[in-house]
Amino acid sequence: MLVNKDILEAIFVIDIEEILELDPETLLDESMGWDSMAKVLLIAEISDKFDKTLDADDLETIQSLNELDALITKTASE
Amino acid sequence: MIKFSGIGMSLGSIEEGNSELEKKFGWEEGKISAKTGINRRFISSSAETPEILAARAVANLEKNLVIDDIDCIISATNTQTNIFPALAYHILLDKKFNSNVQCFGLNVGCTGFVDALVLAYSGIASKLYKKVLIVTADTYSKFIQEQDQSTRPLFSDGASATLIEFDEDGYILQDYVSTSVPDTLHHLCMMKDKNLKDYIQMNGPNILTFAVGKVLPGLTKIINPDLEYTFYPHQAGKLVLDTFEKKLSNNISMKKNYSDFGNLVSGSIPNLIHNCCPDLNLQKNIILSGFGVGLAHTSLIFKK
Repeated sequence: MLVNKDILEAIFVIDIEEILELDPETLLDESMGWDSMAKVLLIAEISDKFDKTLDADDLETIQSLNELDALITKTASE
Repeated sequence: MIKFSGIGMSLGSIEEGNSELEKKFGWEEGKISAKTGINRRFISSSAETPEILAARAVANLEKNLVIDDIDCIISATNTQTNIFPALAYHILLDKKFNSNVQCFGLNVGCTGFVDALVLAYSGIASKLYKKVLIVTADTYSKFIQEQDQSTRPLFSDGASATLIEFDEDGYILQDYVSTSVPDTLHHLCMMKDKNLKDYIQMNGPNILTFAVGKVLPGLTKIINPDLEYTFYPHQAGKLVLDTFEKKLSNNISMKKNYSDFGNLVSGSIPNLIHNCCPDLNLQKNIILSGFGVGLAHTSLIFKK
């Protein structure tokens, strides 16, 4: 189950209801709005909400929605 | 020690709104403004080179000031037409300056104005110079690939000419921070395509990580929480500056004009001062902060 719903809602162009209906293993791609701008928004959101800096290089290794959600949680707790 | 005697600007002659780009990219109306905060850019025509824009900026500066007696010209650009000589020497083409004028050319991006100011201040403080002309000019739009939709809406083309002079009652450099992060140059750099044509490669997420993770902490270290400052940051765009604004303390008043001008690279700070603060010298504590290509950051605090 995805836990960082508010952040996912802020960075994706599709509605949060649509995101939550997706299989967490869904691969991130441009059709769901996973592009350079979404990554930039994510870094800004994490800085804003958790006062942490997400390393953009870490975003290059994640592939699925689940992995993205886990990375947000990990960054927030560091 | 120094005063900012005047600034002349020259922007690309093609004023470009968002709707033209949104149509070109097949984006919904309002997307560029919502994502970047930028509403307008100034794009250079094919005839407008950095050298031509720089000469116009100097001519605009001269409308209000005499600059014939400068001692030094420092230029800052990433996109001058030829590798050498430096842009600073091109300024000598149209002017009857003293032949003792010393010219420096810096190959720098968004830190350019602040980096040049460090050199100007050092030269004036050590009594090498009394009057220094800082010229910045860039035409990034000529080097952004057609398919690079994330970079194209950000940048404007333009040039600035700023006269810095010795002034006994002027600004003293109170504090300084400079950062260059190893192995990050590829996040914002000039590359060559398979036809050996130059193009700009920019990784937005890495640049924001740098701004939030390095620039902001660097700035925080040199700011005195008991003083009031006016802050002139490089106009990198909405996300970066909104993040700065949320994180910096209330004693800092941040100036912004990216929505009307886009990102003018090393010209963004002089343009901000020119646009928002006709007489910078009346302010007590100012922060000038450039960050970008390198990836690098230079921030200066001047006080009176």
